[in-house]
Amino acid sequence: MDIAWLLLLLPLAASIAILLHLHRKPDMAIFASVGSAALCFVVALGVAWGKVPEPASLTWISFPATTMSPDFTIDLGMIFDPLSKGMLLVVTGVGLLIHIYSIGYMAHDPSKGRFFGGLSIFMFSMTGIVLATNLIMLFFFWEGVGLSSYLLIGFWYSKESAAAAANKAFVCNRLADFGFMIGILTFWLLMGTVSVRSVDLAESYSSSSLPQVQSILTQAEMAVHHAPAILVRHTGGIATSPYLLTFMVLGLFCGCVGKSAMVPFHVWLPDAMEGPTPVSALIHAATMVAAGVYMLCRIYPLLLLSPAGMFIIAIIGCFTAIFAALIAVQQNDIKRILAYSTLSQLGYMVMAVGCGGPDAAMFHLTTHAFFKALLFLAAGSVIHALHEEQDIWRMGGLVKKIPLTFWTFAIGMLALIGCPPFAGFFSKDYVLSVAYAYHPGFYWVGVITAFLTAFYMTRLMVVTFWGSARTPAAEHPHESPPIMTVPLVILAVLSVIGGWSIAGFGIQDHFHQWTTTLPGNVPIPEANFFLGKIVPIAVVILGVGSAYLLYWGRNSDPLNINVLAQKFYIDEIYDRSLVGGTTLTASVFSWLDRWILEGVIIRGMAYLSVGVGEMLKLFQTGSLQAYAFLFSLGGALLIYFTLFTH
Amino acid sequence: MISTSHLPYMAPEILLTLWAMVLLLAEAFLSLTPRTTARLALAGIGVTAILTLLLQVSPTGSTLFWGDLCKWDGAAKFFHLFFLAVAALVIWMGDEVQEPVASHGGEFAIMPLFTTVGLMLLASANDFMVLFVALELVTISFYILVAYQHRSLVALEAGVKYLILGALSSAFLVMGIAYIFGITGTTHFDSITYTCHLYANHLRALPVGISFGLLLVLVGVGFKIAMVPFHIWAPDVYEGAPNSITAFLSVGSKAGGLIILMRIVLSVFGGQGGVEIWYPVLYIGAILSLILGNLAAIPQRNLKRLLGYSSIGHSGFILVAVIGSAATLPGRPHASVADMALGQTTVSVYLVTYLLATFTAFIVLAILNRRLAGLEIHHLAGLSQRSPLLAAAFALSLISLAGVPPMSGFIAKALVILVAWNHHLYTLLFITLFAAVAALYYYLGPIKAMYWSEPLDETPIRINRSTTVVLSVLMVLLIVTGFWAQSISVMVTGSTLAQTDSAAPAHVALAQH
Repeated sequence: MDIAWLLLLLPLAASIAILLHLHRKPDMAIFASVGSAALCFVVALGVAWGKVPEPASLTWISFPATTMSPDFTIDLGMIFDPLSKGMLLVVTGVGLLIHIYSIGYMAHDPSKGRFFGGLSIFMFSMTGIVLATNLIMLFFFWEGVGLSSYLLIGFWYSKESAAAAANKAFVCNRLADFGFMIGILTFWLLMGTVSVRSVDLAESYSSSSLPQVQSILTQAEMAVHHAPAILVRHTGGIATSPYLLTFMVLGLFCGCVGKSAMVPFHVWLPDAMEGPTPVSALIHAATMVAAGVYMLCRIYPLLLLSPAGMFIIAIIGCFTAIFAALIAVQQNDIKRILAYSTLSQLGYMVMAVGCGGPDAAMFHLTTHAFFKALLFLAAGSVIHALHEEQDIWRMGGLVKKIPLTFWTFAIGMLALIGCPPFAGFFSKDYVLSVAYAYHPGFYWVGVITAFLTAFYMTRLMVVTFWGSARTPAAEHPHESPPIMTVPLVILAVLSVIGGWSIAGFGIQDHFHQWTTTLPGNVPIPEANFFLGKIVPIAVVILGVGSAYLLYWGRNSDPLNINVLAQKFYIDEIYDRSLVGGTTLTASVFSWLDRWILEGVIIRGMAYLSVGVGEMLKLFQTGSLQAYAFLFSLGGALLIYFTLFTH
Repeated sequence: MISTSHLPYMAPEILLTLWAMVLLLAEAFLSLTPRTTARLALAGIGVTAILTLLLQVSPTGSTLFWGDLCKWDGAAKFFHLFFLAVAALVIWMGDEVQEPVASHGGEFAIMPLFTTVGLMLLASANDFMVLFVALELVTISFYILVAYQHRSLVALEAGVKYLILGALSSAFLVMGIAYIFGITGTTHFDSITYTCHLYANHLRALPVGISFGLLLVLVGVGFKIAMVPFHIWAPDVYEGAPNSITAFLSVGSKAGGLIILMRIVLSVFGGQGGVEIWYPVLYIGAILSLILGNLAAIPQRNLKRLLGYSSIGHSGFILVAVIGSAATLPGRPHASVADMALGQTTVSVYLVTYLLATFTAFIVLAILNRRLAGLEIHHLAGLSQRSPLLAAAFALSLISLAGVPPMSGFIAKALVILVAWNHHLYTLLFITLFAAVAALYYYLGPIKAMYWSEPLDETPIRINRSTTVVLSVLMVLLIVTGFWAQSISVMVTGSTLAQTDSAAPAHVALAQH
């Protein structure tokens, strides 16, 4: 038994123990859950340093080779490569900090045992996604995080809005996962494997049979600026059209659209803020929603086969980035602002993947995990201090009263808006340079988004922390206990230094390695100094300045843009069209079921069997004789037809 | 003839028979309580199972023993263990779950031991004489078990129907054996195989007498596995028998019929000549069973009848796998050894998953039998509120029987479809898919009643600890074997018939006659 399996077994054991037995003993549940998270982090460190070897794969499902089909095996295994190691550290590290924070945040909740059980299910599933060696395994854990997300959004299920939000998240994700499933099946069909190891992916190019691979390659080269070296080496053909490849890529991308809440499936994420704040930080900001981006990076070599698919990915990411940032400008709930900001940042990452920079996407994912978890936890600390107040216009003047929360929040905010030398500056810069290399249009949308980000975050800071206290609760806030502030400080440190690595502070090679394992990925040349450095910093200053001028000293919002405050009416449109349409379809099917299925087929069968029974009565008086007669008749007919009709 | 070196292979049957007799006497003279008797019977099964596990399958594939009348191969070992597991569950159910079925409760735990001995002997039979004797042992002990509650009119009717139709099927069977013996001059499987091989080589077909005999044998076996059109007894008898015995019939008796069916059609008559006779019979039987079993279940309201029809449908699925295990089918390319092994393994996998789901369902029904007004679907209303465990167990078993992933039934159905695909049996493949979809409809009805209907009576149903444990274990197995299919393959590895080389004369057997 390899130590590495502990990464999955510990949280699984913790969640089973809590859900079956410990949910009525909160202290034991906390011990099991936090303990498993801590041990997982230790193992993850071992993995990152290469001390823990990759475990041998277990056979999960295997069909033997037969005349008609080659043997087919699905493994349960773990990939340890720089991509998964980095992500594993983020998931277990941020996860551990948020576990610790939750001890303080949930201290007074009577059913916190259940909460920690949900967190452990999440840690189990998320680790599974990160380490999965094939798409079937990934899909299973994918549904696992969906389940834990559902359970934790609806944690306060007696609150109607929480239950509704949980359902919304569930339905949105199921819809998207249907597309994901089709993508996986197409993948299987085309590649003859479901493995996502880079080696196997590269192998499948050569073994499967695409005749037009040459022309696709040249398209891919033109489109993504750098030749996928592995593809060039394997010129054996794969028998399919570029359309089918695009279909597969878009199917797989559907999974990302649901999990990472891209437009048009973004509606569930802001509502998911109904869950406890640590959940928002861990699942709906730092890790789970980024799983879609991680999945895209994992299968990146395949995306290269479909330039059209890449383009659509980039477009959707880019659109989500600016769309969510616009909405965030006019929100008043502190967690919802951060949620739309998360959407916008996820849009950046997806755009980076689409533009051919998976390393930029993963870099931004990592720094984003640090500062967005920090922002949510600090927001949680604010909410906690003000007795569950979430409206920023009912806060104010907190800067002196809860200084530690203020300073950590400020660091998170500076990192998010991309102020040098904080982490977000470097990663956002990298994303923008990738976008510029793909097409300047994406770059400019990214820059405008950066301006909006600086604007709404400054608005949030100014209204929340400065000015005068607008409610009695805001007059006497209390600072959170150390068990909540220590994780804040650690995350704040990471939000400062997390980006230096790429700027040359030691671990650059580590990030750089991620890309070298992806076939054919060549580091992208940076945009020129003016566009690469001056413009992004200028728009940040512009955004901060304009928000400062507008909001300093205000007690109500001077801007009043209804279409943004109402989130472009997307929810209303969905309600009218989709929900109405579904109800209509459902009633049609209900009619079909009642009159056609039940009426004609079922009743028909019933009448038929009754009719047969009646017919039998004509033959014999008692049923036993009828049975014996039928039995013998059956035998006689079989013998007659087998022996005498040749 | 009987050498002691082969004694170990007979040991499971001998041990269990002796133990059953000792228990009968002890029950009569020592006034054991039914519970003690059941515990002792279970202990006997445990010891026998350990003994069976220790008996290795010879590396050459098979060992002939008991004067070559029996054969020990992978399939024999698998089915021995399978029947022991079934018997253990049946006896445990009769003791723990059901109300005492009659005043002489002790015998209710001892009779299944005799049935099991018969079933085990069937699994290793290598001669039609042994086969017939073993089958009669099974059938006669079933007559008693089915009619055990003879004060109930339904049970009595079921018992009489089973007795008369069973006798009829035995008549067909013994007539078939007589014809085969009449033409070939032997009842020994290997010798018949060789004779058929000679006939097929020289005459291009079997003599009508052998074909006729084979057809009659198939009628008799078809009765055992409830293959349409020999299924007529199943719903009535299932409804009338005690729940544990219904489960026994539905799993044990069916598996017993299947192992002899496999031995007869795959090994004895598996070569040219024989295939032309049995292939159309099983082909039609599979199609009719799939369609009739699954469609006729739809209007059923009584749960035991519903499971009875579903059991007919499952016979159809398994028959597809049996057909797909053939070395050669008329008009189709020769199958590879791997294909044949896949088909036979599929039968084993199907039976294991079917055992898990069927027993889960019948344990729940046995508990409900006492607590509900009846076993109609509408009596299940709101069961999830009265006992979440029972509702979950019944729902899981039905979902597994329906073959919905990730339950274990899915793996079994997927394998059946793979087998049909492998052999280019596209018509069967299509009908299998159709039947699997149609089956969803009636399996979901009870689940809907349990979870979405308001209970008429809200008193919680309490169940004792051992029932909780057994149901939980079965539920976990249903999920685990479905989710991690590899765990099932551990159970069924090597559960295949020994390869018979029909071209080589079975000299040992011929020498006897």
